[in-house]
Amino acid sequence: MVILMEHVWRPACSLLLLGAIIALPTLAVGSIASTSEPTNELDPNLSRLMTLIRQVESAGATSAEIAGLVIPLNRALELSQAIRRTPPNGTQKREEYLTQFNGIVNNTETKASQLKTIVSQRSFVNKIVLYSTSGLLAFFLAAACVFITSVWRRHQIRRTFEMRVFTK
Amino acid sequence: MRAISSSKRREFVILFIIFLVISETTVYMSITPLPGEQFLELYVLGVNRSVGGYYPHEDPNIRIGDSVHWYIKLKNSMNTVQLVAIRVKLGNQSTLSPDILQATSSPAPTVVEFKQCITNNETWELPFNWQITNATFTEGSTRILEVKINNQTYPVPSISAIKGYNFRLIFELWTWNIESNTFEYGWSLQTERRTAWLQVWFNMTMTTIS
Repeated sequence: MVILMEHVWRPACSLLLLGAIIALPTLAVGSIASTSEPTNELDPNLSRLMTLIRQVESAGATSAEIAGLVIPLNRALELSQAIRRTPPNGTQKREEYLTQFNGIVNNTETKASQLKTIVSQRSFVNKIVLYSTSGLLAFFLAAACVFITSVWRRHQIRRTFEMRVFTK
Repeated sequence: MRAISSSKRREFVILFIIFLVISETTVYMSITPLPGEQFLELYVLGVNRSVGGYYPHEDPNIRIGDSVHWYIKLKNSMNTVQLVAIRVKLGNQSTLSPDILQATSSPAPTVVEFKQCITNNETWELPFNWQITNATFTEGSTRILEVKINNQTYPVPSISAIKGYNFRLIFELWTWNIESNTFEYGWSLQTERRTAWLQVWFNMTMTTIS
């Protein structure tokens, strides 16, 4: 039975082996060529940080506040590229870069989270103050207008009563 | 104290409503950013940060070891902070260029990629100093093997040109899409995709090799 199976499967195995022989170098060449191709993904830490910066910005942060977050993000980007470029034998250097990278990302993330809270509160207070001030301004303007028109009317009435009739 | 007449009160209420609408609208308009055109500008300048002076001695024939100095500039007018990547690709005459209508990038191999986060209205200047460090010349075909960009050496996946004519460096702009969590070629504006790319041609003919 075993002998029969071997006999039956031999051509199929040969075909499989032949296929593997052809496919392996092709795949190897493909993987060598693709090693230099950049990836469309980003380090999850950097991706999270970028999302947080966008949130801080939409909360109403000033350009100076955003710049304070973007500068360390760019430094972290540089470090992530340096980590990728480090040769496999440069373990110590990679560790050094990785420590710096994690430190920068953690600090910036904390800073961004705090800033988001501060900026959101500030924007909310600013909006309340602005809308209330404009409401007050409308109140005073309306009161001033009513007062001026009443003074003007009184003046007109006085002028009317002070009129004298002269005969020609 | 005199009582305010009802006509005056009515007059006051009407005026107050009018002024309130005007002032609140003004406040709303001043704190809401106007939806202006959103775009990114990508351009390359020569050695003196001007249009021109792209090649050493104004000769587009680049030799091995010739240092070429350019400045790649990118201005962010997207009204938001942007994480961008500039992908530098090496191509020849037959390499497909990026397709503006389909918003697809060039299939040419990427030599190097530069990533940067830029704030709104900021212009990022990337010094791009490059030189060809290794190439072969066989049977009338020039093949660039290695380039040095900003003091880093990069291997070039097989790109050759007949007699060394019409090589080109293609610069493509990719942006980080927060929704899809990936770098995408160009950028999205509501439903449409916009792209920015540029290329600089050069030759590497055998006659120019010292």
